[in-house]
Amino acid sequence: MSTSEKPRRARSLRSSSDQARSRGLLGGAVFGALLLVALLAWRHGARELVAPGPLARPHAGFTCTSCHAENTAQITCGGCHGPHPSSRSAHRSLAVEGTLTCGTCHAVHRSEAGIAFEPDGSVSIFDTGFDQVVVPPPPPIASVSARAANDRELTPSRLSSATLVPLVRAGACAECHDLDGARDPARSCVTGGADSFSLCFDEHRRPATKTASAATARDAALERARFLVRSRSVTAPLGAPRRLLAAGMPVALACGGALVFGLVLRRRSLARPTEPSGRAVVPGVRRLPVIDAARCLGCHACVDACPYDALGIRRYVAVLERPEACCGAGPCADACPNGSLTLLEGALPLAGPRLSNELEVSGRPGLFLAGDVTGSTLIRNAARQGVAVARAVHARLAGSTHGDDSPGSERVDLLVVGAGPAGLAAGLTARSLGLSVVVLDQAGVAASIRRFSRQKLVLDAASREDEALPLWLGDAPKEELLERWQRTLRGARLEVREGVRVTGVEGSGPFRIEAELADGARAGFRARHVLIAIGTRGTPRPLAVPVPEACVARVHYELSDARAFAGKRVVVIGLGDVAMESALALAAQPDTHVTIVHRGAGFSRGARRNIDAVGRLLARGRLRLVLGASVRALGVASLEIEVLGGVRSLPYDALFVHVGTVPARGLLESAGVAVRGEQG
Amino acid sequence: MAADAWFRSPLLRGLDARGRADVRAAARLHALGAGALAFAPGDAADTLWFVGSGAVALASGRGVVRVGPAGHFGTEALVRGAVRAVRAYAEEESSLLELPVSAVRRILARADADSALARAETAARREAFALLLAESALGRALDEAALAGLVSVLGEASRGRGERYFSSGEPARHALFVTGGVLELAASPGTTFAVRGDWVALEAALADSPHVETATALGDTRVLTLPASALRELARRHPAELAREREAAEARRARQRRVRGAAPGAARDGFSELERLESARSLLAIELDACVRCGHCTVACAESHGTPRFERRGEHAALVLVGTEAEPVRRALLFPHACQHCRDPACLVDCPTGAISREPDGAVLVREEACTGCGACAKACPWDAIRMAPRSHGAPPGASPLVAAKCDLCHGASAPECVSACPTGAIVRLDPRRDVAEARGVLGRSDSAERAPSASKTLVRWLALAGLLPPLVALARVGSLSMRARGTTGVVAGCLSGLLVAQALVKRVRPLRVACAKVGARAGRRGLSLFVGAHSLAGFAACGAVVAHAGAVPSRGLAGALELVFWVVALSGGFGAVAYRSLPGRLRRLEREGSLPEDGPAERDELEQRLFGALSSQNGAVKGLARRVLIPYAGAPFGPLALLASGRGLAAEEAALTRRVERLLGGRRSERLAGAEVLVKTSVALRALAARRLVERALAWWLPFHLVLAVFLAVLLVVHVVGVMR
Repeated sequence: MSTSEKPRRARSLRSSSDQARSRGLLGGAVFGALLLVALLAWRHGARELVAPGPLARPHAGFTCTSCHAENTAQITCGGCHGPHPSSRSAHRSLAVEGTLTCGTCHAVHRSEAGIAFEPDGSVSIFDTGFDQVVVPPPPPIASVSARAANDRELTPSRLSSATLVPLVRAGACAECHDLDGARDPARSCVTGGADSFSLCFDEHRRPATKTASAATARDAALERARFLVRSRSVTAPLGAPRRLLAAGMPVALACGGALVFGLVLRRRSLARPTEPSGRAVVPGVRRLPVIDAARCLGCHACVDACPYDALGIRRYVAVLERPEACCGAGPCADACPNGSLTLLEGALPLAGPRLSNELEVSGRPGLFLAGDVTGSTLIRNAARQGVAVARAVHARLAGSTHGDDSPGSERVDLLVVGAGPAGLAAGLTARSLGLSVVVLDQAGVAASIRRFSRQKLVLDAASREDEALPLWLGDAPKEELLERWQRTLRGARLEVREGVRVTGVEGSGPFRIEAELADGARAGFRARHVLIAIGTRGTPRPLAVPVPEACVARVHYELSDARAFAGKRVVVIGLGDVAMESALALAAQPDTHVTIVHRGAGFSRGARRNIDAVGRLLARGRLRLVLGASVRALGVASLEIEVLGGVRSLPYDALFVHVGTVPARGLLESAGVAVRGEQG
Repeated sequence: MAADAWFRSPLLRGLDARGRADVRAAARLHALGAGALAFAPGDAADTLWFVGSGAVALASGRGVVRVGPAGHFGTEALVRGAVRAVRAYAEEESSLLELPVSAVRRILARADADSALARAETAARREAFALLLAESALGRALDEAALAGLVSVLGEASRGRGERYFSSGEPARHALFVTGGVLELAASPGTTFAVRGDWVALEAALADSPHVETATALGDTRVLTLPASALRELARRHPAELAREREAAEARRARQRRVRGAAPGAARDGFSELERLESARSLLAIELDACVRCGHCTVACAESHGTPRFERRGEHAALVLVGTEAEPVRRALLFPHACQHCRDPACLVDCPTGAISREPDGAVLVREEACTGCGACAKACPWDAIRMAPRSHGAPPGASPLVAAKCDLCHGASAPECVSACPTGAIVRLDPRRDVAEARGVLGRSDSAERAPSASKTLVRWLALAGLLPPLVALARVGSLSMRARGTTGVVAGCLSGLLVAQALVKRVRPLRVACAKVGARAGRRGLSLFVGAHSLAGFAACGAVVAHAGAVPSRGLAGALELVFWVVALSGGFGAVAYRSLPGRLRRLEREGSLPEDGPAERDELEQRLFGALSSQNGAVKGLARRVLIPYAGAPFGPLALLASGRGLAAEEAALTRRVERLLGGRRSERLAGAEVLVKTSVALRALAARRLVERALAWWLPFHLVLAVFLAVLLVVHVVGVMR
């Protein structure tokens, strides 16, 4: 068997962000795509969406059958436009052959550009998908007379509707012509690249069937269009940024929709399923593990789960080695993989206050105790008890009438003394049950847990059951635990008054509570029920020798951050669990010299794991242990200890005194709590 | 009942009904035909075999022993680390029961029926020790009688990680023979290592002089101890044999010093991973310069196992890989907490029900039906590679809902899912003795001839090829004048875009992915890297076709939206290709260990706490320095970008910041700034953390964007094509 330290808990597999990252992605994408199609359909019309493309102004509003004969690709332009063959013989003969069609030059679906001279005198340019007014430059001075004639012809009085002049892109000519060839006749018609417009406005001479004035107006329009094209004011497709915007807007909206929908889906899929609530626990009742030796696997799960090292393994079977150390909270039973370890419910603990099953102090109706002060241990137990008290108070109030509340009197349903796990759990439960509740604490929220050493793991959730506890519990560093609790408190808006030290609880039914504020002022509260959950921490037992003024700052009664003592000579007095944990944390710092001074002759109590860890460090020379020693005097730089009749001097930079605590009995006595036996 | 004949074996005879039930639950039943092999010499021994019916022959150099019904064999397994010495095969049709030793011990001890086992163990120990000794030159040289004499004086000892067997200067009372684990021997000419089969402290014990080395266990180790007096007696009787061993040991030390001395300064880090390399048979490693942090590996693992059997957290190490490359090359690797299928698995020993077993090929597997979910293996694993996970088929009543889960090498599949799912071929399973130069140099070379497929430079090559495409695009543009050509290029663009979208399916559909990985492996690439290259290439081609088809400026309506979406998809893909190529290396230089994005806030808190905690105990000069330089440095909004742009690693950045601080001070007061190094380190770590998060986001978020827009593209393309076809 190796001597290296093994972890005490098997870790569970958890999904990481790698798995969570793609949640909701597909749903969001599909939703976004559908949204995009819907947006485009709403904007351009559903029919145009599946058409080869939107149609420009001359053919706007046409359906497929307007031009295409039923079920054929045959296009019939002549029906509307009448026969107007090309004025160029080559084109005409090609058209007769069928090689050249209307669509060769006027590709209606791809590009049907043109200029519209509106009745109001403005000029628009259109193409498939856009149509906008342009401000054309005035014609050159040389053609003033022509312009006058032109303007006359195009005056509103003479035009009832817009005159449309089709434009043909050079790209259409390029199907047959070599636009770069020096000898190609079409070259003179083209001013730019494939997207520029042709200058050949004499392609179709209309037969003189129309009135002369109309023919003149048309010639004027063609003349003006030729000028506009030649002057390059209509060459490029207009408004590229606006078109980009027009196409980009639906895409951006769809992206937004995909994001929102995807996030909603993701949140839903990541929501953790609620676990079933655990078994009912009678708070305060002592329970002991019982092991079915025939079924026990000897797997160490319970041994590792026990926070007090009460269990051990003998010949591959678990045994309860130290029943007096058992906390009765049952992490062992929760850890047991096959149920061979069960908890047997026993009587109330022998020592401690006399309490009813509802945790009410006998002889003081309405006064409750919960948490460590009842003699039970563990954060989980304390929280359970707090919940039970709040429920009991709620049940009683539901039975009685609420009518005797005189307005203005500050009387609450439940007043909780002590904002530890029990007090907070009671306060939160009472609040959720609709009771008026005030929590008082002489220090602050969970002050005892706050004083745990830095990043100390609070091992209190070795449990698969997820009870309906109002406070989160889990194997986490104390910082995380406190942060979660603070968040819960903020969310529940529970009133916790800090810095209020309760000095007396008097009366019965309506209790009168005397308290002292941090600034020394006195305050009074009135409450129907009182819960005392002040724990047992009390105050640390002081050193037996006087501490000189000069070294007060170097004598500590608790260790919050061992890193502050790196590289120092530290003396720890005491060999209990607290002392050993401090010493271990300190010895883990680089270059720290830790000496443990203990009165006794060896390890007399404490968890086995701490004893083992100290033993390991002793073997590696990382710790020194002086047994059978007592402190004689405390100097500025060194400590005098008496060992085996002689006196030795120990230099130190910091001194930790962990020789137990003095319980806070005063309040309990003043509140009239009867105590059975004497607590160790 | 003939089938239960094994319960009449001397070892199992004392069992009650419950013990028998436990045996049945822990056992693996074998029905071997005549001539079929149970085990061969050299196989790792960790199970006992019981014969139910038929007969088994144990063949060795000394002859053949026959074991009939109710007999047992393979007792050498009672000594941990032992190997099989004989060839065991069925003489006729036989039914055999194979029981893990750890389960046998427990079952018998609980039934108080382990006296026969203890006797068998004593008998097996001598033979097993002799076999273990035979792994050294001395053991091979000695004759049988001398070996037996040697074995009779051997003792056993074990030490855990960091513990010492002896320190230099201590008198040498024993010589040690290592049977498991790695010992580090620190001495003045250079540190050497000893592994299974090596003698330690022979010289000192022979000369009766103090140790010149300090022997520290790098992990769990086991040794046999030979008293110095017995060694000297041996030297007197067999001087030649011992001289041979001393020569071999000297040669080994010289080789190790040469290998380690030849490694460049920083590469010596690789030797700190020696324990892992020694124990691992199949080590999962991620090449950090190629890993794009996409998490496909764990997603693929979760798809095939329900929950991922590893996560991308773990230690970094730089090792020289020899097996996977044409030339030995130093690679930054991440070792995720995934089962490495140890040569001497600690989990197997600690399993109370015998649910963990080792396959003949070395894979260590958990049998879910026998697992009780007690977590003993998870606690025993030194590499944190076993975790508890929900049962795959639901828990039977009364049983724990959780079972031990770990990598099973995707047993039965051709390649592990994680390896075949990696888009850049960054994840690989290594056999350290074959693929890692450090392990080869120190531990000796594995005789396995098979080579891992080569690592990928795929992306670079494909991108270089794709760089040829812009000229093609320009050509396509020139030819696009004709309307008919536009139609043709439209078809090409549509087909290419459709192909690109459809390619995404390859990654989602497992059989396609595996097939793709197989094709890639034939081309000498790992995972999906070939696929990524092909995707990039097709993407570039599609860009050209789209320019030719639709021009540069989007039109309005559906076609415009389609064109716009295409370009956004193409740009995001291009960004991804560049990010995949350039960011992993930068990210690696800023990391100390493998962490996931969700670890960021905690790490930040930790660093801030460390910064301000360290500051609180400093003098005014340091505090002033921190206020003026370090805290603004750590919190500068564009600091992370500057760090990324500079391409520096953590050490280089720390050096740069220290220089800046020194310049600022102009050489004065430097003695008062003694404690400032940790502040500089923490400030750099804070800026690096922000930079890492930036890079991680860039790597993580382009892909969802690309995918969502690709779905848009697919839908719009369908609508567009339907419209054109009408």
